[in-house]
Amino acid sequence: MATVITSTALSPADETGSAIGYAASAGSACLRRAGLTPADVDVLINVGVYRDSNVSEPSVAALIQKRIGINLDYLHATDRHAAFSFDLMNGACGVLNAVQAGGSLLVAGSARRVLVVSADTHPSMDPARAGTAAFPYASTGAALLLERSDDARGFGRVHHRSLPGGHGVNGYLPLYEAGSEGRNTIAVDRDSGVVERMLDLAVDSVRDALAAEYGAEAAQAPTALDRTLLITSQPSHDFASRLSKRLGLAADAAVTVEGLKGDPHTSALTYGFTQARDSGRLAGHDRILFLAVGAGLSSATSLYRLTGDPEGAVR
Amino acid sequence: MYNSRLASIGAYLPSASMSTPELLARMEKAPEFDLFKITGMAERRVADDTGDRPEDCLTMAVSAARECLGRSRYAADEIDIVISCSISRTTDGRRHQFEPSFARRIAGEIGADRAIHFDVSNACAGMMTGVYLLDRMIRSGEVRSGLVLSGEHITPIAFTAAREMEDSRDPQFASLSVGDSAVAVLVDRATDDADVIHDIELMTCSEYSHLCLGMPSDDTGDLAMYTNNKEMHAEDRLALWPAFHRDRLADDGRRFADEGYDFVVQHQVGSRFIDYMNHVGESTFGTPMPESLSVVEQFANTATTSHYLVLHQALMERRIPRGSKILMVPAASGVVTGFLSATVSSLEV
Repeated sequence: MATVITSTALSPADETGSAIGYAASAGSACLRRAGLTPADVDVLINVGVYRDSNVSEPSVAALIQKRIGINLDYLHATDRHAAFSFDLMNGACGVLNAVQAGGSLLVAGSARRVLVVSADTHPSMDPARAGTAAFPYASTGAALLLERSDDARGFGRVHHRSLPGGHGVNGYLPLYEAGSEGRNTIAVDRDSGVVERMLDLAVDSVRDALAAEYGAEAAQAPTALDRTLLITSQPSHDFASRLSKRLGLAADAAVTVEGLKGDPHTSALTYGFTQARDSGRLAGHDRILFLAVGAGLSSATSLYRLTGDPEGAVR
Repeated sequence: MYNSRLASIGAYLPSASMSTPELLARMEKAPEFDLFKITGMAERRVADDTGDRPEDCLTMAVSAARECLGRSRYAADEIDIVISCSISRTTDGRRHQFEPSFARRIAGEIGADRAIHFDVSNACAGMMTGVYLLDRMIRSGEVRSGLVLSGEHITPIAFTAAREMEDSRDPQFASLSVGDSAVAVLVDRATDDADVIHDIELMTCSEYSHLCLGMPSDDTGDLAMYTNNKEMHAEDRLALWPAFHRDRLADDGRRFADEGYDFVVQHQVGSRFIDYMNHVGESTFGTPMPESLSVVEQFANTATTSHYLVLHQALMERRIPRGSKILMVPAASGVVTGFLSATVSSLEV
């Protein structure tokens, strides 16, 4: 028994620049692909960080929930199926925190289905300001549906690591400086050399996760990552290939997300997974190693077991 | 499946207080309403983030965390997870932080270096959501102990309202009702029935998610909150809690009247709101409400921390006998409702 991904979807490209819209369209598509309706969702977790107009209340998740049409009004619904939503924020690692927390909701019987959505945008909602030197993140979103598997397929433990020292990436709204432009303002400071530090942390995190899963000795073996596809956050476009190289793997052992202007950030792992699945790259693999590295610096890693027939594992 | 418990609690309150007349004196347009009469709020604490030792969301949360840990049997590096739940998330000279997570920064400050960390944002139900997640993570065996905390420097929205509002029908009226604070609770695996979280259930009815929006002001700047009070507090919204609570208990063949709650803590929106919620509960459940605890007169609405600040103050005042069963009822933008019930015996301040 483990937490398994039963559906995913990416938001279609559009010019609205709305993270709420991106997450809602991805969430709705994710449910449709699974043959489900909004009433089938018990918990909705939004892991997006950068949002429309820098809204801080309610949760962005509640606004996304409304767009998808989940538990609009318990009192006036015929079936009285309650659902709950909230934002979980931890930069690029948030999606794996959601897998871990969502997994506990599934185990505890508090949910049968947890829909995890992600989306980021420049708060001005001007797509031209996304994926730039000042704001490196792509304006996009994604969704994945989590359920319990009845076999060994799915996520293993989520492993965490944090480095002392500088945050590496610092994203904030400077309220004094922004004045009346606070809804359109965001600053993202990236330390020089941060991608190098992220690579170092990624390498250590992969080794930690392998040692925890297979034991220290087996993790050292050059075959430890055989038949394992790496799906990583994308702090730079060449991050995945550089990580492969650092781990002594072929350049294509890790998935590089294509077709976006900028870093897919909180949607990176769902993007990588969906693009790999849709292009047939899961074939020939038994496992996926999901790895996110982000501000903090912090990392989250989890080994995901596929079935022999990956298309059967993911609808 | 394990149970969880509230193992220790800590709080930080800024030393500066501001009376309701002092707040109203900051209004650009002279108020035609009696805020004390409407809300029952006489004063609120106001953080000062301009001094050499600034009080902001981060510093206040760290102080509350240290006090909470000091009352626990845990050292910071023994904690499995840190969940920060504040709405305002301001530090470093009024920067509203998006990443790294506030939880990461707090964990770093207190030395919880191996802890899992993430932020939860769920309006005034933030800490309730953090405790909900931690309870389920303890139940599932994923973690054994964690800190749920929030530093809330939220009074800037009151000052934005004071600069910008027209009258009592203005969407920023509710912003006048907030106060600053930080609270941290340590939740771990229960070992007996004397200290245990019995239930924590939450629900979001998203039809009404647009009724209370927090975002920067596009007029005079800084953070602001815009609330449609009439719709937010319409009878049907307030009836959500007892309907949901009754249904969840009924799923297990239980009834409110048999639960033996000793105290109820409503969200600290204002004294009239609290009275009204208790009245709605009484009529729906057909039974008297337990004694209602409140800090609204002294500390106003402290947003995410409010239920736990009430608990902290009541423990400090020795108002909660050992073995008491406490019911907490969140009410938050989203809209979020639900209930937490816990028996507390060892919890001390």
